[in-house]
Amino acid sequence: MNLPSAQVASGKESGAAAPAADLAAAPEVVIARFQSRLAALRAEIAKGIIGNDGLINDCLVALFIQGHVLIEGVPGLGKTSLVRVLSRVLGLSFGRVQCTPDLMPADILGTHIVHEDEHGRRNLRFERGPVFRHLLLVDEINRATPKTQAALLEVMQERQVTAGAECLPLPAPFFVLATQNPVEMEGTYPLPEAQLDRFAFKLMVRFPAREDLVAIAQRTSGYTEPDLQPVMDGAEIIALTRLAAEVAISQPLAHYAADLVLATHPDQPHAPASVKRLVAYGASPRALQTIIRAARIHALLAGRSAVAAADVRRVAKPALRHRIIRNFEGDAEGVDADTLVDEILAEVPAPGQG
Amino acid sequence: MGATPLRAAAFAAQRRLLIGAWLRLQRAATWWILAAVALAVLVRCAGVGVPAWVAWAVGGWLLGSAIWVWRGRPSLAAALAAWDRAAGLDDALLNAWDFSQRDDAGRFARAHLDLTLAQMPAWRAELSRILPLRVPPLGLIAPLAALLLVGSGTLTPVAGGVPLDRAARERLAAQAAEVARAAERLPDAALDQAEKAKLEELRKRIREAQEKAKEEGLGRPEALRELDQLARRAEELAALLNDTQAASAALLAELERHADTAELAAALKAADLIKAATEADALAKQLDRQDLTLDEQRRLAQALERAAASGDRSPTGQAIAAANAALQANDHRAAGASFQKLGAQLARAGQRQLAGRQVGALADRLRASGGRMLAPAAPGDARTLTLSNLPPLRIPPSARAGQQPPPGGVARRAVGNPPPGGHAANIPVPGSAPAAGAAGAAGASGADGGIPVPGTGMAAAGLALASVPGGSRAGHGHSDANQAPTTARAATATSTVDAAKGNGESEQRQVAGQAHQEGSALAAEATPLALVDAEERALDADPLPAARREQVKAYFSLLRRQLEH
Repeated sequence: MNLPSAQVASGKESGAAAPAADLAAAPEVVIARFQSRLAALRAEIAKGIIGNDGLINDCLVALFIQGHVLIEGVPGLGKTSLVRVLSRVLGLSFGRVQCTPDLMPADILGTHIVHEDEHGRRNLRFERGPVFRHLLLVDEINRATPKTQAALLEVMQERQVTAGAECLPLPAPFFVLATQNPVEMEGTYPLPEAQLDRFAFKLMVRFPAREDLVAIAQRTSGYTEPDLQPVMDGAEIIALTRLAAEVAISQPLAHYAADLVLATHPDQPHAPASVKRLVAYGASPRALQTIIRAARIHALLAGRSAVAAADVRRVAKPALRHRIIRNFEGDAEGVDADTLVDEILAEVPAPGQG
Repeated sequence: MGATPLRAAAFAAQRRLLIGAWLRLQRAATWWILAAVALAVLVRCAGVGVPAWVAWAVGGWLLGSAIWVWRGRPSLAAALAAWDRAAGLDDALLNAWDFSQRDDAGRFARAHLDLTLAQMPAWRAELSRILPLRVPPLGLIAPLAALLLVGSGTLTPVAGGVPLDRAARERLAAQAAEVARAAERLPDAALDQAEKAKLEELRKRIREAQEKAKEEGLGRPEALRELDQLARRAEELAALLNDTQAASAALLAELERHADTAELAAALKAADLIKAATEADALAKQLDRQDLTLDEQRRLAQALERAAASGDRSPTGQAIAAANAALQANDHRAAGASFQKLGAQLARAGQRQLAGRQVGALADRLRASGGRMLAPAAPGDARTLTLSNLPPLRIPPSARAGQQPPPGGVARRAVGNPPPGGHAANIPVPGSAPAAGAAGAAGASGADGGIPVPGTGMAAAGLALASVPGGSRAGHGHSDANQAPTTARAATATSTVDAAKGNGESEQRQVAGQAHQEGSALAAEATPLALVDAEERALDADPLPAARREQVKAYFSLLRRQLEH
């Protein structure tokens, strides 16, 4: 049930005029403002990224639920460009780590160095690493060793770095956007399940369509970077995140989301037969949190003040695909996690379907 | 918080979903209902039966399907969710319903609820379009047509069923007359007063049925029901008349061992009570003779003492016990009187038995009358299976083989006798033929088989007795099933011999003249009955498929019941 168009229009105008205005107004007004801000953000991103609308949309949803994103795709599809563009239009500080097997945790987090002050006294000072940015791009994360990957665990979950006896909070908002290349598996270290679960979404970068390729050829074959302007800032992102938390979700839909997560577990009686046969472990409660939060963002994007089953289904795949751990038989058959999620969506009845 | 309009809308949606589900069920069952109605009309037109079940089936289906749909009705929330899905409302109604039930709904939930309630009138107006009740063309017509036919009386059952036509009435009257004549001829001399009253009541009911058979408008079910009731009464009376207390197997076995009482035992065993009465009378005369020798008296006393030791409390057992007591007191005349009394009792029981058999046959005729009433008898028609029309039973080679004794046993035994290796194989029965092996062993060691018994030379010589007239036991002739029995000859003496030192008594039976020319100790139907029993037992042991075994057993059970009657 969308809000009346007149309200949306008015909200868009007011949102454009005052981006960080008070979000305590009437729900229909703030929803309209949210929509208008997202539209402006998309328009600015479209200057730098051609096509991949779904991917961009999912990235923005992840940003507004303050979730980290794992982006998977072959090289050259614009993964890094997407993250760079996002940092610029969001007005956030940007850090980048290119992962290699010899990358050490200190290279990411920072390290203590000997510092000599103006009085000639020497002391240890913590030199902050690239992680101390709003937006951290971890490129080809699966090339880093498990030790270095583990260094990201605390960062992603606690949003702080512990150096010696000191806990250093990261700037808010803080997002990790990691990329990995699914083709070159030699010399890589697959991410452990614990770390995979810390990513809110796993997004797949598809090869651009023909029309997008043509547009890429026409618009980005020069040597000048697109002129991107910041549309938001960190404070507004945090405010909009808090706004999204207010979107209502009814009990039947919460049950539906929980049923979806339970259906990923092979030991559950209502799990599909393929899950029982091919899956070793299912999604965690963190997946349910992600689904609910992301569904709220989709409800806002659709101009609704309450979550619908379609919102839940829309986010199920990016939220669940990396949390379904296949067993040996599943690996042997090369079954795709997306196929399993599709079967779960088909078999778990939505409210009014049973 | 706005629950009332939502509740009303939810009830409306639930109602439409229920009716829709019920209509879909009707549509799914349309062809079944049409077929049932058409069948009912055809049956009614043909006048063959009573289609009352059709009315009940259609009514039951309509009501049952409604109850079934009601039991599986969606909840109010589910009804609203279905409405959401059908109208593409993105769960607006479901969410609003849930938020209206909560007290802690936030501002977004309240906004959603307000907006939903504001749009509810417009959505309610479109409910019939969103959840349409598409009445299937035949889905309702079929049950309504069935109800209409039932209501108009077209399918109303005819009271008493379809009336008999004239030819059937004539056949029924003829059958009833025959049965009535047979009932009048039933002997009742041996019946007590209560039994006579029952027989008279049966005759009266048969006469009434005979009169009723001539009436016009008599329905087939009514006629068949009447015949069935009469047949049941006749069967009850037959069971009453056949209920005689039989002598125990131990008593019969003991009587059978002695020459003087063997004939009585054979008749009792064959349930031939008339013959048993004759034998009892013969024994009474034998004991009542003035010139009864001491040897005969001692022989009889020994036989009766052993028989009385069986403790049988049947009339036969009591008579033998009394005769034994008299003989032990050296009063052979009193013993004779006991046997005379037994003869009278057996004669009366025999007459009751005969009457019971005739009443049983009457019951069979009553049951057969129903079939003959509906269809005239024609050559080749199926007949009721009775003893009189049973084909001669051929004993299959396997069954014969199953009766062959083991090496060293009796060459051929009557069916139902103790198995090889049992009593008959080890202890020489008076007058019976010891087996060749046993005889040889006895000749060598004198321990097991006893000495060769006079009159059993052929068996003792090791020849197969299958072709010997009279069978394997002296005094107990053999005849094939349904063949004329060989002429019975009385055994003349029982003597006691020592088979071997320290090995107890052995007995032999002497038969004057040609050996083994006696009549069969078994009734004609006993052999096929025993064969059927053997077949049934074999079926339990053989690895036949369960379904096939039940089928064959059912056949043999039916055959045995027919034979027993």
